[in-house]
Amino acid sequence: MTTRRLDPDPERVRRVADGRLRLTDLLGARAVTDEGRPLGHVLDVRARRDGDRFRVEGLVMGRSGARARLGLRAARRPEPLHVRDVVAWDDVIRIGDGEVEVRDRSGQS
Amino acid sequence: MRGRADGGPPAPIEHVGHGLAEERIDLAYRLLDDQLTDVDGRRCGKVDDLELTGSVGEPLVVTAILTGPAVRRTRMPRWLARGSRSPLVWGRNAVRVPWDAVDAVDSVTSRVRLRGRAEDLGLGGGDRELAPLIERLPGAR
Repeated sequence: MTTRRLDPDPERVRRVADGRLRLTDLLGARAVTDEGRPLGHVLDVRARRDGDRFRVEGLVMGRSGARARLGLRAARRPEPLHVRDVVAWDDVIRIGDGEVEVRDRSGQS
Repeated sequence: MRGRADGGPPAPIEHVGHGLAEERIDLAYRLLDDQLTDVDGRRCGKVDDLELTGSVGEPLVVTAILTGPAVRRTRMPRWLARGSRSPLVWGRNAVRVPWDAVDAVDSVTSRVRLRGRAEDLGLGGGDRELAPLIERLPGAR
């Protein structure tokens, strides 16, 4: 698996280890499957209401960040274009510095 | 904007249920950069980041709003944030507002209303410090 290594951010690494992430730790992170397949970048974090709290349900993925920012793609639809554009939080295996590894479910229907 | 022309507090936002009306939201799109207002309708910062508590294999829950210049710095591109770490540039102020303090979110006006007063939550300190100077300016009153 070949990935682009970003400079480690000590604060971020510590936050992840402590179980206190920031939303912006996830935004923009590269997502790859455990098989090494790139999924794009995390564009948003989807959450569902659970009582008075919001519980993270999944990561909204996208490949065309630049196009979306220029308004050439409907990046801010309430629902993603495809269900597969949202990676379930339960499928996240590891959070690295600027990178998220998720379980590869491409072989499943 | 819903603020009054006389500079008084803005009209109260409509209460949209207990916290948020929507069952499912995209956090960055719905909350990031929204205006924070206290229980009196006073603007007291913006949602600069959110704290998520949990880890891989466990539930991850929104537990706090993070606001302040020191939080904002971490959202800058790394090369820029690294090159300007001085508190003189970004300030030291970073405030954690527990999610329990959120009363309502109005997605129409992009406001997050808090249950308490800004002073009690540690917000709006910069405004209070500058108020004596601003009041002296012609037309400030």
